[in-house]
Amino acid sequence: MAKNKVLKRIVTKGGQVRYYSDGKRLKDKTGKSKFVKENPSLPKPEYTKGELRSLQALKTYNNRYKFQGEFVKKIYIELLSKSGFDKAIKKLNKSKNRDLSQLKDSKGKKVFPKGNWDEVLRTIDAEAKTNKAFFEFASKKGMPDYRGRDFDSFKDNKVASVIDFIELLKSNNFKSYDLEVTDMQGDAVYGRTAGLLAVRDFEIEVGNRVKQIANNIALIQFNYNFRLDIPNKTILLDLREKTGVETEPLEQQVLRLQSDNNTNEKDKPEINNLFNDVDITLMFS
Amino acid sequence: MFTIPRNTQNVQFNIDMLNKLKVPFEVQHGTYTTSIITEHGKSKYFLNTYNTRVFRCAKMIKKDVENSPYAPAILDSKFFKTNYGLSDIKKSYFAQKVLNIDISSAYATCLFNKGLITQDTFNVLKTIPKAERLPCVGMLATSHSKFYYDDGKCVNVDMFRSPTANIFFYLIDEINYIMKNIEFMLGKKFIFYWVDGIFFDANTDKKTIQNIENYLTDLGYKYKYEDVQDFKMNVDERKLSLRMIKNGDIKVYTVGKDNVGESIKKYINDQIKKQDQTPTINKI
Repeated sequence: MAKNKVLKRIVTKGGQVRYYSDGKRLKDKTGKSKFVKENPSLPKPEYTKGELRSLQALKTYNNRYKFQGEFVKKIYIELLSKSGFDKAIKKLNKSKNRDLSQLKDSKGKKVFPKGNWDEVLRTIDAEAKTNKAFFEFASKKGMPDYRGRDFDSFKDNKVASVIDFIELLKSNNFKSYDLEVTDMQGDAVYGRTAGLLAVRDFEIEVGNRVKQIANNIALIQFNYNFRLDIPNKTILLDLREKTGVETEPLEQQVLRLQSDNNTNEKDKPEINNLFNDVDITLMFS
Repeated sequence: MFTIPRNTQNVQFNIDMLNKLKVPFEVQHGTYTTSIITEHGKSKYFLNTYNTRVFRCAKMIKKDVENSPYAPAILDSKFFKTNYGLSDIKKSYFAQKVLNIDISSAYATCLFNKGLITQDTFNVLKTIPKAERLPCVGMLATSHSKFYYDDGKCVNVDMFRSPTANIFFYLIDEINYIMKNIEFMLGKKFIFYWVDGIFFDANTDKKTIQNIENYLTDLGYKYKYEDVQDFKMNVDERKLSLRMIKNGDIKVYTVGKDNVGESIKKYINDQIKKQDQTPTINKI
């Protein structure tokens, strides 16, 4: 068994404080930290200014919630409390070191036995998938994965294909919304069916233009950044190429993306700056 | 059945002709294939064609999944389907070198580790080139939209998702949890992850890296380090783009920001402004 090293604190005639352990002098910072850890409740005047600062830092560290020693945001504690671990969290609050990896259930069993952070996330997510009030609380608190997501379908508001558009229009939040699409030629198309036809034709056209240049296209994904006209309950989408922005044609960009030898990366155009409301992800095999 | 290259002219010509004839037909549209179905047959327009081994392997996966005792619970569940994560870097960021760990055959290994496919199917999947492996697994989530035409016009639109789609979304979530755990282990050294590859600071301490490697090995995942140089992260109000040279090839990733949230914010702000500008009239 490792021998516990004794920390010695010596005040020199000049009033300087030095720390020694195992006969060796420690760095000032390490010494202070060790000293306050070993002596956390001395009367205040017995500490030096530096030690008081170190003591304060230690208290802050102990009072904050952690997981395997790393700080975690308070929102996770709130969510775990609401996931049936309220008593366990209260018990943890009384412990010296508020480390969530030590959280135990009513039977004394570790809640996160592997000590992995994803166990915390999985616990919270499992609750959010079944408990609507909890889900809404998590969304309101700004949990990134929950924002903009519908509880019943669990779908987010990202639209990556005409299929997603249909699903979005059918969802509870948008079933009363209409669709207004400005097609590639600049014609405004009104109505759900007409709008979806315009999106379908856009996908065929862009896919074909990419394919003509890059036969090895392995993945093409559209990310439609639609806008909402909330007072008029309309989803707006502009499929035109951008004007007033200096961009190369789609074909030129695909060519350059695929086989660019140009080392000046900064000047390289982006395929995603081409259409008004659509980003495109491409992958070549 | 006819197989024709997919382009606007080919598809539109057929649709226009059938519309002129005023016969009922369906246009089935997916990302890579569009089919026009009449009572006399089907014409298929392809953007991409895959080697037959892709379809063979996809069939094997589907069959295994349908027979797996673990599948029913997954099919009934909900999934996030998020496959990327970014650090809180608000400004553009550049590094000459970053570290990158890629999980090898992540989705395929996950399918096998979770008892969703057999050893035989896993072995076949491993022999398939990387570019074809994802389509093999991705076919679990085949989807398409359907446009119904009658009397010369489109009268209805509907969509279809494969019943096994949730298995694919489950794989996305499972790999995402692994990535999030590694992100937590890395703390401030984390930069971003994309599907099965995680990017982090080249100065990360050895102990943390060792912990990550042990974690992946314990879960049964193989991994490899990739050479990443000239890493650049550009942040603007609409999107975050990343550009890097990975194993000598230029890689570009773009993540769009949530635009709908902006619409709602703008609407609320406009309403507040309107309230401020409207004089209050007290009726007597």
